[in-house]
Amino acid sequence: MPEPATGVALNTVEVRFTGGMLALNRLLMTLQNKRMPVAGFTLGHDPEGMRATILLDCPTEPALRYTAIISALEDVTEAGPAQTIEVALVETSADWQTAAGRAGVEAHENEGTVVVTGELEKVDGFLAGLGDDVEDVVRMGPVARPDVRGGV
Amino acid sequence: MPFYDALPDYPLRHVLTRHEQAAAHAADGYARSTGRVGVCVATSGPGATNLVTGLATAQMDSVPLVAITGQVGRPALGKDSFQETNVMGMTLPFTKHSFLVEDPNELYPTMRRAFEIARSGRPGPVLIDVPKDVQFAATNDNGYRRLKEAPPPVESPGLERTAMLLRSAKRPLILAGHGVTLGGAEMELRLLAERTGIPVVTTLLGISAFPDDHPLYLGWPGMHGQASVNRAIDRSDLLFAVGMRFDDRITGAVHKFAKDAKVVHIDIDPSELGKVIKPTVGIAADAKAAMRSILGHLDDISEGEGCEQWREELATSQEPERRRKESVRDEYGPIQVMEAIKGTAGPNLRLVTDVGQHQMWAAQFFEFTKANSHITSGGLGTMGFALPAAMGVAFAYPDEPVWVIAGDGGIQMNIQELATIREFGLNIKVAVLNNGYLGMVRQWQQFFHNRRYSETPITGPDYEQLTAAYGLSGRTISEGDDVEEAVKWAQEQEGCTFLDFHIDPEANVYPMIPSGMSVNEMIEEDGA
Repeated sequence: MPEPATGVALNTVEVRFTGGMLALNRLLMTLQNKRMPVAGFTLGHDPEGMRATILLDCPTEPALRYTAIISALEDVTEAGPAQTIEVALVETSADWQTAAGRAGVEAHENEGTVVVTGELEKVDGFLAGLGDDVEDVVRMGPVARPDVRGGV
Repeated sequence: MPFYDALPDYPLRHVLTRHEQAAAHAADGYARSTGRVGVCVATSGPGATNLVTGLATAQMDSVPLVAITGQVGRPALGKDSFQETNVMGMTLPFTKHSFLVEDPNELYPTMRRAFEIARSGRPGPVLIDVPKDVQFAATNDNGYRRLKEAPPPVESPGLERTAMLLRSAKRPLILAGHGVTLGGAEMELRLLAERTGIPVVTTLLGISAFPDDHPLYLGWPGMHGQASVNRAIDRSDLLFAVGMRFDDRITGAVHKFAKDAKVVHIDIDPSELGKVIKPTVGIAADAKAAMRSILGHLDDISEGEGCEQWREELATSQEPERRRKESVRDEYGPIQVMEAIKGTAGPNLRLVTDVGQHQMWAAQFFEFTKANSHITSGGLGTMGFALPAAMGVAFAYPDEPVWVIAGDGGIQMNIQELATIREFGLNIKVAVLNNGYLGMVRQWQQFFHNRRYSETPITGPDYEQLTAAYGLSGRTISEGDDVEEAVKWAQEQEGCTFLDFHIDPEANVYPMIPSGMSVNEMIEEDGA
């Protein structure tokens, strides 16, 4: 039986593997075959092989079990937890730098829009810190932060 | 063609089965009974697709297999060429790993790696797909690269905690699965049981991992397991589960399974821990190594100590079943057939069962005293498995009695292998429990669908004539005939013999826990 989607508990698994399309096919088949609650999937490659960043919509314990299944695949050289973050686009006239510092999120301004990146609860904290000074906000939802070793 | 052209030049024994599915099951039977890797070969296209059921059967029961398939030449790949099929793609869900060898220089290391992958860790089937032109090519690389390191020795804080739980439990049970047999841990299991005095139950595939005649052996639980064993699990306060995966046929309703028990779960596959039952202690380790380590923490326990009252309670609970078994022993039917085979074949018997009612009767009424002497398809429940799997067992143990017990449904699914058996003179004895139905499905229809026997009545050939056509001997046995005499006759004949037992069409397997229910909903009596 598949793990029920929680909608709140998100865990990210970073997978490095070799073997090209056949290995990718096996990875995808395993995700489907074991009914893993995949909420997001991004794929990249670098000189060492391919890299998949998988966002699982389930609590940490089953996520670790799923990671064990993925780790056991022969093509997989490395699999482990990665960071789950959220990106939010905010319009505000308030002092967003101070709020960002307090909340512990990364933030920068781009043509009048504040781009905020951080763990989900910290983004919540940042927005709460701005309070009514938030003029508009677009939340992109949870995403996995890929390993910085290679480009997507 | 290139493979078969080269074959006579190498010291390999090749068995040409009449169907590729049978080749996979035969390799499976060989692997299960010996612990070695079984090998099967099929040609491209339909030959490869015919292997699929055999590979899935092996995967579900963690059996080490290497399947080699031919493939169209590399230039023809992806062009819908004659007998081209993406066998790698179609077998991804039920192979441990698979290779398409596109570089001839990779062929030799791939073979080595395939065998290592198949037998290491949690065993499983590995497929090697070899394009025709690769088979023709000369190679100059016989290098070997290891992909994954062997698992480290067991070092888990759970070991000490497990030992503490084993010491303090009042109603503990050891629940041993196929992993004990696969890991060659039968001796460690016995030592652990005898050191602690804890009763042992097994899964269906764990049968024969612990001797049935041992005073600590209770039986096996689950949908058709003994009622007393199911109740013992329900009453237990500690389940020491080793090399098993809490299959739904064992647990029934998971939330009601062993609800008062702490659970120690040992499995070589870490992803099994917490998959179905959340363990109190989970140890990802080889069964043999883990039990050895735990024994090291139990040095100061006296042999046979502990849980005496629990053992007495269990012995009392098994008494009605023992009496019931005694009372039907002389009645014509499945139990009498089992008794006759058991008595005639002796303790060296290797029993291969198919899937269905007869499989459950055999598991219930045989007494397996020899390790790894019970071979059956558990996880996938593959009808048609037994006859070809027995070929693998018979090749591995030509001097030991090998019996097949099958139903009249399953036996017809690979009956063509009688030709292979005849060709190689395999000493396989076949007992078919013929009730004219797909019996287990009929039983479910009886219990849960108001006796609407939709598409379960089946006909079959006259097996005496059929076996004669294959150059073998057979007999038909009905109520009133001497079962023991027939079985003795079959055992004494040279080569394969076939016994067709006509039994009560509506004989049922009891007890039965309906799917998804618990021990409290167990059906024990006839007339349901």
